[in-house]
Amino acid sequence: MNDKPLSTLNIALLNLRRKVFRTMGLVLLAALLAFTLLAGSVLSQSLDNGLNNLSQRMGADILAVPYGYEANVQGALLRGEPSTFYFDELTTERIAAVGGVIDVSPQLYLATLDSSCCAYPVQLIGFDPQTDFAITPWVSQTLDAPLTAGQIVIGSSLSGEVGQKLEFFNKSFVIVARLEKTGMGFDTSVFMDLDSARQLAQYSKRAGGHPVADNANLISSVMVRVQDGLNTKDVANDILQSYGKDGVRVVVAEDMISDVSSSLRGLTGYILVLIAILWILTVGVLLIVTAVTINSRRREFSLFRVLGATKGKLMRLILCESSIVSLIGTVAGMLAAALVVFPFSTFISMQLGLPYLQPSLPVLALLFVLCFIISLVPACLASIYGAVRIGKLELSRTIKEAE
Amino acid sequence: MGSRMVPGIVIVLLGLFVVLVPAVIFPTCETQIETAAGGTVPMRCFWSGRAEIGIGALIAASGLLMLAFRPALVRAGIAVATALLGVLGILIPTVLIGGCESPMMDCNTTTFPAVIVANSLIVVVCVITALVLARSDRRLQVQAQQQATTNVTLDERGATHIEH
Repeated sequence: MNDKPLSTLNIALLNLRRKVFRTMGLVLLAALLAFTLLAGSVLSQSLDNGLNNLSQRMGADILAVPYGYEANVQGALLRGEPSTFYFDELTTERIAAVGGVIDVSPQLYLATLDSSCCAYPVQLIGFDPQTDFAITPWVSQTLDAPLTAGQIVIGSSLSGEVGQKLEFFNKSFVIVARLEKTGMGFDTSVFMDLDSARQLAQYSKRAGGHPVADNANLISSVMVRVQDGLNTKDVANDILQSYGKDGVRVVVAEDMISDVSSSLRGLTGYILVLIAILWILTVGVLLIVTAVTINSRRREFSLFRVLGATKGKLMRLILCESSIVSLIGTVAGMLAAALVVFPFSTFISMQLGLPYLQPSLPVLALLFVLCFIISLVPACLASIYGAVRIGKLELSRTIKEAE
Repeated sequence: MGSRMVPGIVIVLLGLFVVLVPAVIFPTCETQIETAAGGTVPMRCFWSGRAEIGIGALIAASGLLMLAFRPALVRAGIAVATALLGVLGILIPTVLIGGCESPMMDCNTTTFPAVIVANSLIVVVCVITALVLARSDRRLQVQAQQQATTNVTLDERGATHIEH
């Protein structure tokens, strides 16, 4: 026997339990809205963070690469796709002589096939610690002295702790620093000084041959910094006009970032449209269901009034019913979104192929609160509408009609 | 009847999901390790995947047992055992066997997150089920005791009445 008191909450729960399918449908709709809202906002916030990080960490204004490898350098930087492309080391000096260029630093890209840390190809990036301005600033907090032979800095997604040894092509390296998570290709890259990278190419020759092993004067790219106040594109054009015939091509960092930014804008736009559609749909469905419910339950409300329930009590009942439905749906949807977005974040970032950096805990907490509030708004609107409808109902006439 | 079956059905479905993740949905890494002798052996994550298939099958079987048995206390016991199986399912890829060291490998990006999420859900569902069933069993026992006390009182009254 059910001996629970007939409080507003208990009556609301009994009503919801009586109409199981309607309740389940509404809960599902609220859950779908909360899921899309939380998953979508975490996704777009992570992409936004990734883009900001990319523009902060880029360091160089222009990247000079061999002809035909403009896309490869972007793949290596954004997604850590291992690439090998080379041109003559003299290019560094030539570019340094171009007007408006203030800093140049060569980089050498090697791709491993296997290593003790990773059973998949890793991008090894050799850089010159004396001239470098793109990587060193980000490890200066953990690195006391410039990188020397036999020392490496690893990306955040690679396994290994500082002080531990890693082997590449049977050559042992000591990890001296670890980059913070960047959400870019740097996370899966290994950084070493230029000489060590060249030496490694010699070792890799035994494992299958490498162009750098035959010619020690090869580099993969030149990072270029342009004087403040000058137009980067003009300097890039100058480099192209001077050395384009020698197979030098340029990638302007600003353009690369704006390409990523436009892809991101498109994706964020789709997410926002989806959220807006679902929100409007939820509000609409809840309003319709509330209107239909009130109409079909006129006799029930009349009986409540006869039994002494005030109009306020009936309004609280409607508010309670839609709040319970929305609360259960919102919590379930947010939980489902959290179970998808967080454990599968690496998979999602790999599938998107865009810089992806999850927000910090306080930002995530704020997102949770905001999504929770926005998901509950449709229920509040439906309750207000329900309350207005009940206020207008002439319940005494309903009883007379029933008689 | 319906609500009694819900936890059992949910556990069977989640158990089957744990079986299907490493076997079909998100298989573990396919790369083989070359041994010094020139042969190949599967990577560590492969064995974690195999263990998860076994654990998933046991969880699904526990769900079927929950559907088959009626006494609340028996079902609560099965739920507790299944929750412990879920904990084992979480410990296998994280502590007991593990997987590839790189977080970018298939096992770490898809297989393990999926089995960890499924096993966590199993633990939550089983703990809630066990608590609800234990509570309902206690309530039934209290009701039975009250009933017995009422019967005894009635008997005493009846006896007094006969004496008069």
